[in-house]
Amino acid sequence: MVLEIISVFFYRNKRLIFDNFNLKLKNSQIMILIGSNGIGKTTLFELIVGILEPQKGIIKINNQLIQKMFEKKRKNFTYLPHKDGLKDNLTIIENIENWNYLSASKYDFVKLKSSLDYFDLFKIKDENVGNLSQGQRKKVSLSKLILSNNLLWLLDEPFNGLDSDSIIKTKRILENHRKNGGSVLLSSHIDVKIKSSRKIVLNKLRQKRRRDICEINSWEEL
Amino acid sequence: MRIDGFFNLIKREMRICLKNSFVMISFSSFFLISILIFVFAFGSGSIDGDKLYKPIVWVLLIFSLMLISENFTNNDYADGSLKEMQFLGYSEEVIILSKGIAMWFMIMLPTFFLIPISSILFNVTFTNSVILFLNICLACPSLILISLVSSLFSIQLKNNKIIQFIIIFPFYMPIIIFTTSTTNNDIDGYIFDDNNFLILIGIFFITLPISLLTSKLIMKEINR
Amino acid sequence: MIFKFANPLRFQKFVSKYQPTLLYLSLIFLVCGLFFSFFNSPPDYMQGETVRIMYIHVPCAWFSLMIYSLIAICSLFSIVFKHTLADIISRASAPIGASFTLATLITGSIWGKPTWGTWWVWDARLTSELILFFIYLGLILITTSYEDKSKGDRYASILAVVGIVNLPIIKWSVDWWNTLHQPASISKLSSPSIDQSMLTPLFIMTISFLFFFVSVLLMRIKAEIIQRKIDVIRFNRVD
Repeated sequence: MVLEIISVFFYRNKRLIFDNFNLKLKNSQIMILIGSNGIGKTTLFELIVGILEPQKGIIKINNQLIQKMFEKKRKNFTYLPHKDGLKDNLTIIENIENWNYLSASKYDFVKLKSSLDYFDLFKIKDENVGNLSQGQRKKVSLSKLILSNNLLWLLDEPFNGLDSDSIIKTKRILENHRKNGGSVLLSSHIDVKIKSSRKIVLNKLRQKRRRDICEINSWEEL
Repeated sequence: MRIDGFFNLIKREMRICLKNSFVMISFSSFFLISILIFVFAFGSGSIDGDKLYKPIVWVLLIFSLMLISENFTNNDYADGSLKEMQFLGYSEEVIILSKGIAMWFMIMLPTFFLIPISSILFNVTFTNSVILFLNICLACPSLILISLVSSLFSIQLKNNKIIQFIIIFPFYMPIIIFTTSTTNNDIDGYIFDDNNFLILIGIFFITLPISLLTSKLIMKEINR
Repeated sequence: MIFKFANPLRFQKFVSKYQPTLLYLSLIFLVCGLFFSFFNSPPDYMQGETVRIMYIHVPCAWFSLMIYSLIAICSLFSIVFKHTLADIISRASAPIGASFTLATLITGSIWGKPTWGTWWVWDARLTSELILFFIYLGLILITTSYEDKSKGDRYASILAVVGIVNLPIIKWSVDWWNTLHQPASISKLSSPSIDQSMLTPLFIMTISFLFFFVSVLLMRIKAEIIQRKIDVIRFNRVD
């Protein structure tokens, strides 16, 4: 099992976001999380990568608890968050190189060139990221996927702002990754179609409501 | 933490710094222009440089530290790279430490030129400016760490420089007291038997663990 | 016993029941203490009648330190266990501590004018007490300036725990540095270097201030609980 989430409870701002949430992701599987805005897709990713900690429950990557993974072992997934972490005043290639250093994969210019070429970004590699359009920015961060050697990919809204041509290209990357034994968890607020993928629809939880002052009886609720 | 990871972080910070050269330029021009304003405000007559020079330099340095520290944390928070570094497995202490080192270079490189120039403008003797430079060298690491922590505090507050200033002010104060007492004693002629330099180094070794721990706590809190 | 009050509603009822009594007790002790300090204690052989300001200055200074330690302990508790009551206590006691510190500074400078000849001296005690005041100000500002209350509490608790380095500096500054401020007279309870006739009003005033602090703290905690309840209900109504 690549990714395992077992009975996770998570509260944020006194609001229940995950109530006994379970998810299992096997090798060579693509899973799509679908849900409207504010339902907790990004929160789920942040729980998986260990930025947030669940109040209850276990999250395992490659059968290892994420809380017990440090430094090097943490790098066995590639996560592309919605906020891409690209610096506006660095060029495309500098941003990618920075990411390459930080994720501690070997610097390989040929691979880097091919990854940028895939989305036709190598021609404008010396352009500052601040001058790019939203879709081009997304392409820059998606080209990190080709560079990464990890089997587990976590993508937060990868198709946002992309044109149809690059959506097809992105889907092709994902399918290639699946064929090579990798697994992908991606989120989307709209319905996307990828071959042989599983869909999970996140539903809005009913919150426990208190409408009377006398009903608030524990310190936790304050 | 593997040591090459730490070097990667420093490399990243330095790269961003060098690209953001306007920060360094704005720091040095701010420094020089304010020094000029002070010089003109004293009038063209004889300036009692030795006494007034040091407090002016310290005030300018502290204000510019506060302004610069924002570039290191707030920008990273805004574009999500602070989170990125965290989930890539770098511990919060190392992130802050690398930022501190990059910021130290950003401050010390211009000061190396700015202190002699401004001491000429103020008619300060050579030894005094050297002592001041030594003081800045020793005090800057702790000041930088404290200002980074305070900028982390104000990361989620928009337009609130005042709060940042009030938070750090109490923690700046001991450092300022000891630095100025070193520089004041040299007038009496016993500069190097004074152990205030050692106290500054001691303060740095107290600030280092405390500020790293605090920044870890705050950075965990920011995501929550 | 503690778990009896582990419920905001019961705590509220407890406060409404006993808080006035504490306030009255504090008033009674205040009147007694003032009587003792004005009419029933001798003037100092060097400082004369001005020594009587000590009966306000010293308890205020003690409380400024004690309230900060209370805040720091609560903050540590809230960082480790994330209990709301600890947050509420530290949020409620920060302004009280700030006012005690301000009172210490003001009475101290009034005392300093006749004895030292100036209102203010930059000596270690005074400076560290001033720093304490600024830390209190920072705490108050940080708790009030976040939209999300729990976030402000968390940040304030981090700041409070860091600021605890100042407490030993205030306490032992008169011993470490050779300062103008006189060293502590009541550092060891067995043999205080102060006369019994001066000790009595001092302790009565301290007890009065203690009751005052506790009653105001309880009142503020109660108000904070009610405020938070209103917030919860408003929060629920919005969506």
